[in-house]
Amino acid sequence: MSLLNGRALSLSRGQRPILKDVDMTLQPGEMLGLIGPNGAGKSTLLRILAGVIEPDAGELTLDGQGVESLPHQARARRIAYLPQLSEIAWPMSVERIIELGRTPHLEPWQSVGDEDREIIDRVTRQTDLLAFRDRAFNTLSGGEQARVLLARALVTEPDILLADEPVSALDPAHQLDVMNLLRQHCENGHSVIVVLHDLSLAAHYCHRLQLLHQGSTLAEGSAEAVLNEKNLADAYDIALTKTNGKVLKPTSLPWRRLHKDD
Amino acid sequence: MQIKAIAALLILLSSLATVAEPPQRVVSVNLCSDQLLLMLADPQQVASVSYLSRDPDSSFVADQAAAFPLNHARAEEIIRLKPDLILVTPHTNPRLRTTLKKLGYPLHPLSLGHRFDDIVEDIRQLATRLGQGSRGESLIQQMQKRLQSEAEEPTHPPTAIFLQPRGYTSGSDTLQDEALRLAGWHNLAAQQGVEGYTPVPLEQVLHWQPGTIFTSAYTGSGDSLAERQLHHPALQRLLAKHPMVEIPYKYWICPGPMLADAVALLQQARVRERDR
Amino acid sequence: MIAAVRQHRLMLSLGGAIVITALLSLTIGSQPLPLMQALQESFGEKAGVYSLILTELRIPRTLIALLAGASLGLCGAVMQSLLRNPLASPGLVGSASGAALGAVITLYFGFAGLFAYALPLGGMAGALLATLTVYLLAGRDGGTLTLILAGVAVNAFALALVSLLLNLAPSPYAVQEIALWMLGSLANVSRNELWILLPGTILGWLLIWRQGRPLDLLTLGEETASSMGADLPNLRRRLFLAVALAVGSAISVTGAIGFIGLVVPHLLRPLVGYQPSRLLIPSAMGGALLLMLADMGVRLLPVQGEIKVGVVTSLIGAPFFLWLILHHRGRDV
Repeated sequence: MSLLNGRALSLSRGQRPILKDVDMTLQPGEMLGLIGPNGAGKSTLLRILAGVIEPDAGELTLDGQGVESLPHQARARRIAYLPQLSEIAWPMSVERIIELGRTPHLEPWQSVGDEDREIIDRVTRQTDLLAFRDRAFNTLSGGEQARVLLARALVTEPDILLADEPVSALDPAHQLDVMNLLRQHCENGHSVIVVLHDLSLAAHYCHRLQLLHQGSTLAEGSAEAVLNEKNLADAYDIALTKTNGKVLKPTSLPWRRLHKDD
Repeated sequence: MQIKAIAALLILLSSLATVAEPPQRVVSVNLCSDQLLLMLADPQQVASVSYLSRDPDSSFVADQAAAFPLNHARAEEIIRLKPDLILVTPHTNPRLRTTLKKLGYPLHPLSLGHRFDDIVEDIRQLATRLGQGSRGESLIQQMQKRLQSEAEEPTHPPTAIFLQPRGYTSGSDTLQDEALRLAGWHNLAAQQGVEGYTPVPLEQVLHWQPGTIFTSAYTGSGDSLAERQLHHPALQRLLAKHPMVEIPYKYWICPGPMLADAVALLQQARVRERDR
Repeated sequence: MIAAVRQHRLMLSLGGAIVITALLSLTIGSQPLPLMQALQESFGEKAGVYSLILTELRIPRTLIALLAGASLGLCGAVMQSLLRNPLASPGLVGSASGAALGAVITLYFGFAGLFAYALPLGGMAGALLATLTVYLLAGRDGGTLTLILAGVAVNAFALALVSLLLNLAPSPYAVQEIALWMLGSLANVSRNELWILLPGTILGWLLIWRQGRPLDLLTLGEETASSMGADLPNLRRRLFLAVALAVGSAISVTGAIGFIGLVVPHLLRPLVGYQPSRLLIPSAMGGALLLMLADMGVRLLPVQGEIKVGVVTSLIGAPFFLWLILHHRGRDV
């Protein structure tokens, strides 16, 4: 049985359809890459999966049960959402922001305990943020801010992590770090759905890709199957570069991390 | 003999008329002068009174005023009335006063002082100007008689203050102070150095510990924070043994013969207080 | 851990300052009050004038300043956190002027005489209506500018209506009370007003109780907060109602007192690490402190009668606020 399953999800804004009958499925331990050109409906699909917006039609199940029957907090413990743009209203410290990720596990009267503290420390270390703990969020660079927000989602220890373009603000080294963290999350038995624009990263890290185009699924399956010349031409209006008569496949990642790569 | 006498009388009358011919079209632009005018003048002498004179809550001459045209103290209205005398008070708009003076209208000023003697003087002067000297004297005598009728001066005057909505009290040089004194009360506010109409904190009133509190709320209609202040629990406790005494507001709007009636009301309150 | 200690220290200092100020506030008035003698009288057989002044005037006045100030400070912190906007405060988003309008309608046109709680209910309804109008005008994600513009419009409208209605009111004293409703005053309040103030205040506070967590989550944006388990429509309804209850009750007794809800959360926010949940209680305490101090200032200033307490809160508040703007200019806060 799949962990998360969406069937015929549709959403329109006024007369304009944004998602049309999209099916999706996610297995435990799987990392699913959502790709597609701008406006394809990737972020909208992710927000529906996160429960932030409701689809006009279609059904969404978690462990075979309708998601809408779950209480807010129970759903928040299992599904974490990392939106693309995150403005922070107040210049809180990095540590406090990461701490907020434990909220779904706390009763209203509880405060962060020792167990929570351990998780926070571990994630802070993994996201390379130990040195920034006491810094105010607004004094960090864009890449550092993105890592703080990822850390916030990771400390929730969700079964499913939904990440909307988590690497777009990052330099190559930190892009790889973040992708590795997401993959590590999967290796611990959890699942990840990640929206990516970088097809090489998507091909390299994701177990499976789903290509959206104009609100519908154009292709779905392994990177090899999805990223063929026809799909790329249809969806992105691009062609693969040929060097010495050989096609450079997006499945080959042109760089790797020097120290942290495993 | 008879003819001689009549002739002499005629000569006397005509000479009086040339010396000070009584005005025949008097205009009053203020409630205070309205009341004195209607009490002293013959009806045919009055050209117009102010619009407030018909308000029974404020005016003692509301019924009489109904017979006369009203004005709102506007220069245009007054000029159209072709007055031969205009009564003005210290409250009259100075601009109106200058305008009327410039246009050559005779003005008769009233002092509207707060002492009993000031009132007597205002009445006497206006009566003379109106050619109604004897009516003025009899009004003054009535007032004096009214004051003396119940005036057994107490050796130790009981204490009192006036307390109005918004916490206003009447200190020295106010009508209320004069009335309290004439009625044999001791006005604590004046003694404590309050001058004129002044708001005092409630705490101050509690410190003074007045034996009696008089009040004259303007009307009973409507609600306001100002009026609610008179029902403050602290005041209620102070007043538990001596309930607040209400003297209608209209007695205090103008200095005039009504002061004698107000004094009578205050005297009655003092007698009631003594007999408790 | 260190943050928790700092938080405790902040609350202890504020609490201590409140106790000292409250005691001082009992001794200050038109006449000095020998506190010990007043207390002896109050507990003794024979009630004297000192006990009367203490129990009927100064204790109610001090408690009302404390409660109303706390409500204004707390609601300022709540509105700012809820709308994620540092300028949202009861004075700016219309709650205060709306409450004044509601209270004026009930008091001067005979509804307050119907039953004791008509007055605060009028204030609450006015606060709720005005706040919702501003909120709807500005939109849920409206920026600071739209919020201020909507607030200015609704405030001006409400205060113009207050003026007009007081001119039309049957009581001849109403016109002279315009300043009181616009600037606020604690002069001559009694225990009656305390009872009027209390239920709405407590209900409002209870509704805010334990809502710090979702307000913290809102720091991360509405979508993130909602994905993290915050029930935002419910939270919004609850907090708007809470602000209307608390501010409506306070303003219907004191008139519209400005600046406390804006300035107090601002001043305290850096001291609590900018975290909304940690800001709530200190803001309530700070508001109570500021209003009590302002009210003492009103009593100490050597003017005939009393100036309005709102004049003093604005005199203290506005320069602080200017300093804050200058201090933060150039920073993205």
